[in-house]
Amino acid sequence: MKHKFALCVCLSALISAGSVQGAAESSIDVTALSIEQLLNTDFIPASRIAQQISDAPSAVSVVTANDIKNYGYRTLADVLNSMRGLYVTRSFDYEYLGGRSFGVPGDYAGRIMLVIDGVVANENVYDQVFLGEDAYLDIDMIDRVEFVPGPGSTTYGNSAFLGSVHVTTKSGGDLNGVEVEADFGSHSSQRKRISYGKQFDNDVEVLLSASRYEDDGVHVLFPALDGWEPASGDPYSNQTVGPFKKNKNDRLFLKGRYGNWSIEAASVSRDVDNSTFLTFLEPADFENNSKIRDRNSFVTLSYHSDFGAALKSSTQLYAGQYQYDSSEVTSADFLEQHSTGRWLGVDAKFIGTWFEQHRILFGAEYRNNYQQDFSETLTADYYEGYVDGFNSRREIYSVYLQDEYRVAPQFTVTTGVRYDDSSKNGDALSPRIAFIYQPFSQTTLKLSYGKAFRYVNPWEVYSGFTPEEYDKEQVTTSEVVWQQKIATHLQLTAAYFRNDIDDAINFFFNEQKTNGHELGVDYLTEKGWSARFSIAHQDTRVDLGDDPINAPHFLGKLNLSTPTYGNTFIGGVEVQYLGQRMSTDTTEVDSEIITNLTLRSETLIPNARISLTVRNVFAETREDVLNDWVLLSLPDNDRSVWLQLEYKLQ
Amino acid sequence: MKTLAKLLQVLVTVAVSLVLCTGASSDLWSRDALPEYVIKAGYLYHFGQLTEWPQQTEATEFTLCYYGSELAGKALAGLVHKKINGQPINVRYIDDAASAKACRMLFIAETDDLRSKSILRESARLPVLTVTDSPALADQGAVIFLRPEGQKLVFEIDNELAKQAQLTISSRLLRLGK
Repeated sequence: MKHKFALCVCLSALISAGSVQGAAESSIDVTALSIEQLLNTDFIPASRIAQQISDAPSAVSVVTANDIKNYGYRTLADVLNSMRGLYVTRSFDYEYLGGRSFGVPGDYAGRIMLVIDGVVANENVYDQVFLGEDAYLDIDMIDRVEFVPGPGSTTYGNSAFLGSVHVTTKSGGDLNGVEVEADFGSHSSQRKRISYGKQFDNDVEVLLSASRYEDDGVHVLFPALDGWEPASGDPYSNQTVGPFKKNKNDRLFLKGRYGNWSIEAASVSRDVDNSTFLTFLEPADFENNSKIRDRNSFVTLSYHSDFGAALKSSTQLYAGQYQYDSSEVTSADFLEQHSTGRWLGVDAKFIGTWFEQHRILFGAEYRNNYQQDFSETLTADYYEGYVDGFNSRREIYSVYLQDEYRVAPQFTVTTGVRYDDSSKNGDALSPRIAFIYQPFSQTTLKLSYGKAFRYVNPWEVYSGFTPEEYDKEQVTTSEVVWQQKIATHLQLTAAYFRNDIDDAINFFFNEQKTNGHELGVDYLTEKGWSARFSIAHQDTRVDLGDDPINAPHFLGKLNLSTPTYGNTFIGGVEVQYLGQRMSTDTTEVDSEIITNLTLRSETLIPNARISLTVRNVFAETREDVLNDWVLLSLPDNDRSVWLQLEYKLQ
Repeated sequence: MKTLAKLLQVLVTVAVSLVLCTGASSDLWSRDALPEYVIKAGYLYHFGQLTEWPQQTEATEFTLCYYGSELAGKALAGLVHKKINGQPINVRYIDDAASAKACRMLFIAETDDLRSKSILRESARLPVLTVTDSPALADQGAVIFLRPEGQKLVFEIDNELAKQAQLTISSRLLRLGK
């Protein structure tokens, strides 16, 4: 314990020792500068509490590119894990997102949708979203991330169940030159990136980025496996084994705009190697080699146009592809799995402002999931050979309408509805109504009620997750939000929500009722301190069993950042509390408090950013609940270091 | 109990960090850079110089209104003793739509709340040059949208809206806009 404390004091001292009282803001006569000079002057961003861009009646969380740098986030999972009420569970191969009392391990994104620049990014075989080294985007291509809790089916249809994550990427003008980056860290991890972005005068903008990440995997200390008595003893109890989760990825990102046209494309290929994987079903045979490759790509073409002053339109043509290949080889058997998902679609959206007090959004979408295939081959001593799988496809037609009605200057009522019809799963209607009232300029009250749905996906049908007559699961959500600003430096958010899930698609329950309470505080000082604190409480009842799996009652987050060493450095401290939760066999998994520290500088070397992050400073043991019936959780007490070096050429 | 001990340990670390950091603020940026709202105030000044209003000569002062972030108010205080086309600038904070008719220019800073939308809608019918830096208001009737682009601040002008509001924006300003 002593060395931990010493380490922490050292790091604290490093962050804080250089702090000095600063100089007063310059008092320049800005009217003496010409407008051309202003256009060529760099600006120093004002410190502010990030405000939501999305037009949602719920308590939105925002993480900006600046936060990403302040806290040394490396993946989208790190970003989401810092947000109010969200938590990420890590398994041998993927990161799973939990939130709003839904954290069934192995259930990919839980029930949350990922939207990148307005386009849905879930693949179509498992409805999975990728958050770790397998995610579409390199973290440095992200401008901001918003988590919009609540039912999103009124806007996005299928799968926007308990909330949606909206990622906005950077544009060419944000980079305005070339960036090269080399990162190094624990477990021989390294990342290399080169990006180019530029906005040209003639309304042309481009951004190109390529990156590669590699590491050597982690070693894990396994606990004794209770009640597990293999014939040959249990050699892995209380022993460190590994390496696991050896990752490698390649990413490409392209974004371009010409006038009203824009194009965006992303591709990622990620390999995971668990070369000393445990075969729990066959304890005598620990020699195991598991390899997984996930390949994702999408391309979107958008066109914006105005039909007079009262009607604007935006049309998106999109296509995407997902390929999954895995092999698991032991001396006893050989299992190979392949999935291929392909889809394309078009979404035409219009905004009409013909009527004085109304803003009307309407549109139609067609999505063709023209390939949703899976195959598996198992060869073992006691099988002759077993081949199975499915070939599936489905089309979804949708129409939607939303009216934002300003009843009074301080009072708005938004009503919306979307109708989806799937060739395989039938139709679904997703209505929503929201009241927003602003009694004082600093006070906003929001009340909303809505329904969302998620169709059964082909993988769930194949795996027998749900009775065959189920087409979709549904949720009804009510939410009350109170947001209070106090000047520009303090913002309080309080929310209450209730979710009722029916016909749930999973092995653990059919119905779930959740009452949730959330509190968030954002605080800034003129000296550049920034603090964000949140606490979430959720109380859930399920019809089968007492508690839902992997859904803690309490979650807490604290993020603090401050300039230090006379503003040469910026220090960031992050503390995350994840409460007790239940594993798949209903045993309790301990709560955990993880502390991360980051120190960065953008002024030490001109045009360069240097950043050092220590994750899990106190080497706290965290346990991730797994969807495995023998090994219930994956323990990890890894303290890791991550050094980033970025250089800009302009 | 274990959780409490862990929590205490973490809180001590954070507290130590906080106590040791006694606050800091000095020139983090290159010497040529200016604070964001100082530049925005400069832009507003030039937008005023490069726009013509109907019956503008009849006025005795140039009323520059703002709503939203107090950062805007602080920056605009720097324009108080300046003149636009010979008329002294009068900086006013407004928080309801009815007050908009007294404004020549209206800056809505960093907000897209209900009041900002109603103020903006009311102003659209008046000869008021509306400017915002809020992305959510950019397509909701503001004539000029100020936004960051890399390390610079740039602006977009919707000249159709300007014409509807009977404002004449100079070709020089239109050329400089994105």
